[in-house]
Amino acid sequence: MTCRPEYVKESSDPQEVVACIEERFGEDVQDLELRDYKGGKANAVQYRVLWLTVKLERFLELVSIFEEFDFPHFQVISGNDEGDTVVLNYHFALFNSAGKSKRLNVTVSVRVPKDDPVMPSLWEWIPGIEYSEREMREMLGVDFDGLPNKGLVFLPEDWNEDVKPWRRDETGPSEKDVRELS
Amino acid sequence: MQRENQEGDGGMMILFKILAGLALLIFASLLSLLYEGIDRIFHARMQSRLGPPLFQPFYDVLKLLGKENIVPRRAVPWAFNGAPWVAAATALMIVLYVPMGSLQPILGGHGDLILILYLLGLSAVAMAVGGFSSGSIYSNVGAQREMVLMMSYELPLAVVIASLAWFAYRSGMPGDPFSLETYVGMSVWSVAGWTGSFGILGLLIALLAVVPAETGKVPMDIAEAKTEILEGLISEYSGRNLAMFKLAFSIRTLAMCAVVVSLFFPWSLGRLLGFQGVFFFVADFLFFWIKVLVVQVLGVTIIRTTFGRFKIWQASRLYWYQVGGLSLAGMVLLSLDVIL
Amino acid sequence: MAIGTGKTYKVPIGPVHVGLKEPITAWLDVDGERIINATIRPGAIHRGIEFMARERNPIQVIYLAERICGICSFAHIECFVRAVEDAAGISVPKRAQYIRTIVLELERVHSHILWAGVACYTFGYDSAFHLGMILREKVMDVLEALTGNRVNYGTGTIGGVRRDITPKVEKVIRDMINFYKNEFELFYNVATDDPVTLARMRNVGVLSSEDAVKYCAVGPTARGSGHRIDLRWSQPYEAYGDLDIMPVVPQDHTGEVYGDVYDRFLVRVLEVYQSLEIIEKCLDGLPEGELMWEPNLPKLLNYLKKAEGTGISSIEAPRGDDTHVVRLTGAEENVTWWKVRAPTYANAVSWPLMFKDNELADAPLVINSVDPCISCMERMLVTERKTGSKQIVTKKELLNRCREKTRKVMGA
Repeated sequence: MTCRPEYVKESSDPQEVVACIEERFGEDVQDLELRDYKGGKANAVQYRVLWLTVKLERFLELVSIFEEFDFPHFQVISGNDEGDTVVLNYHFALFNSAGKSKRLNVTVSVRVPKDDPVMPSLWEWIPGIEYSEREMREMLGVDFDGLPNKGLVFLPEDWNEDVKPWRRDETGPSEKDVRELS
Repeated sequence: MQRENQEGDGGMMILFKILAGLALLIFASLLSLLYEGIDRIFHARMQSRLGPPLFQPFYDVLKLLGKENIVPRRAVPWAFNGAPWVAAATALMIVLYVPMGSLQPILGGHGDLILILYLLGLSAVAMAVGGFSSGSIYSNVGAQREMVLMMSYELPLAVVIASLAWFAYRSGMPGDPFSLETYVGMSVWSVAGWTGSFGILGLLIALLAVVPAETGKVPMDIAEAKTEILEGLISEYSGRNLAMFKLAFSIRTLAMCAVVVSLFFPWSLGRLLGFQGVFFFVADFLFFWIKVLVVQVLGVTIIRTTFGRFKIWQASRLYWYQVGGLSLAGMVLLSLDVIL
Repeated sequence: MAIGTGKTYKVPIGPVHVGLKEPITAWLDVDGERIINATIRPGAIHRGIEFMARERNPIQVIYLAERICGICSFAHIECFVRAVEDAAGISVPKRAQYIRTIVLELERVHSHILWAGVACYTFGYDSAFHLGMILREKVMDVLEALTGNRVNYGTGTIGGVRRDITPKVEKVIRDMINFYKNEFELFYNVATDDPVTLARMRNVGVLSSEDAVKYCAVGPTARGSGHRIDLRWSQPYEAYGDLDIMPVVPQDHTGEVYGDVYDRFLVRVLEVYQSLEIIEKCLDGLPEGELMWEPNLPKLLNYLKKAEGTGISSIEAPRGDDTHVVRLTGAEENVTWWKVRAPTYANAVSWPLMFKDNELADAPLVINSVDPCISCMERMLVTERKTGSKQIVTKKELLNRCREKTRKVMGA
């Protein structure tokens, strides 16, 4: 099957999206998984969710493919410190207002090496991403190239910016940063 | 009564006037707080709440009088401390010029409607000065709004007063056309024909529309909007100064309603029931304050229960176009009445 | 006065402000009364709930999630619980799905009425605020009858719900629906027909249709800008697949989209009616069956301990799309990581746009118009406040009174 973005735009079929991604990215996309969600009295499939991991170099290209289908509604970035890398999961939603059961959650995971934790910023395309990028910057220490406002979002003004609360290594919070509430 | 005084010793008369004036000022201050209590209870009941106790405004003012008076570091102390006193004093002075029922005002003959207008204006300006001198951005915005609001409602207010005075003059009502006693002595409604009555009605509505702005109540509490600019021009005030401002607000409400009653509802109960002597004055005096209360409930309480707050430019536009137009229409109708 | 001179001064709205119910700071550059620019700075109440979750097992995190927010507490646990169910592969019984839907909708009714009242209060329309509060009390009683609590219901759990809808409770809910069908009209008329309301909300805080997409607005904020975005329709979870729901958008009712505060107001008020309909449909079609996938808690915990995977869940909370992502690692008791994206987190980004060229007087209204839940956004713990009155009530007494009232409500 060849990828036809116009067709995908019309049909908003998750299978087509997967086919398109597989065709264009091949080996650079891994752990591709399409999950079904059942519910209601008939226990029928109500909607689907797509998970995938992409190489850092081709991340921007992947997001631009989404743009061919529909403007990717950005939800949030979640992340975790996994030793040598920080994993960032970008949660997008496609076909947001296409029709009943049409919405497709897409989670794009990217591994960012800790020795050079820089991600390209999506801010120019999707300004709504601002808080998430700033949050990942302050919480996990991933810098975003192209983000104009790099101020703290949730941490207090007097926070020591060398401490990254969600890191699990020596840059993470030490014993004295954590106060136990009785 | 006045003639007796004039015949008596001049010094005695001044002393009497001072004593009566002081008594009246105290009475008016207490009454204005009581009326505010009634206003708050009415307001609460209309929102199906219980509301505060009747004497809550007294408790508030008394409590504030005993509290520390804080002057912000960036404030201009003399203006900041002086403004509340000027605002309260000028508002109180109005009471001395308003006839209460059939009682002549203490300072009757020494001032007229124009003076009352200026005293109201001065009181508002004093509040604005207090806001400007607070050194707070919110007070500053509040003071600006107060000034803009004043400039907006002055037009209908001036038109109402001027048309009434002109009408009184042309229709040959006895007395000085700018004196409040003239309107109390003889109801304007009784002189006017059909067109004139409509004109007066228009003026009455225009004046009532000005009342919320004069008294700083919703929908015109723009200068003191708490959810927007944190009580605006009084946001930095505390203790004694704030008590003075509170007093100034409630006295202004009282005075404004008293002016409305004197101008438009001067009917005497004593004359209607044929009372004589002291009874006549007492009955009229009580009836006058009851009328003031009715005007306050209708013109302030109900209005502030039914509406939300305007924005400053919306209020300005309302006063310049709708209310201004209404007062001008009233003026034209009154003129027609006189000319025809 | 600096109107039109191009000179601006900075006015802070918040972190503590009468017009705001929760702490957030908006620094406004103001020229006269006009807002030229706005900078938002959250962070006043960040408590690091996601960090705390790392030392708790999924069942414990439910109680943490519940306390993210007082108003949409069920939305948050629902979302968390679904994410865990997704990660661990747990299916929820049908009856539980329906009960969850009902609680979600009850919560929406309560949240929307609360918001509409507060919005009126923001521009000094206190009467509408009090009317809203009185009306809201009914749904609070129903929630109390159903769950035993006014907020933080403790109703959801992984794999089901912990409270059943008994015939008694069903009657209470149906009474409530009838009550609102008769009484809510009053609030709708008072608030939407009022000239001052219209004057204060029309063309204020406009978020254009295009910007709503680019800035990823969600929920009533996006719908107010004319987008048919509603997860109950586009991504039906729980029982929503069985119900025919269409997103409420202003163009269906007024024929035009302004994307202003009034449109957002309208959307929310109309959604109250929609929610009532949904609750009624759910009650009519309430299937029989189990309430929980695994009622035995140690067994469930043991299962969750073995489970491995990442789960995501997005639901339509009263304020918009609420997303939770959870990672469970095999042989580890605690949640590995957990990410909460409350709707305000998404909507707050578009605040500066809404502020632009509005007036200072509109600022609190604009902030309130997305129905902000700053605690949600920053994920805090709500602390308990002691109740004081003339007669001092001890904690024990208070608890007893609460129980008495709950019993009364449940017996009604």
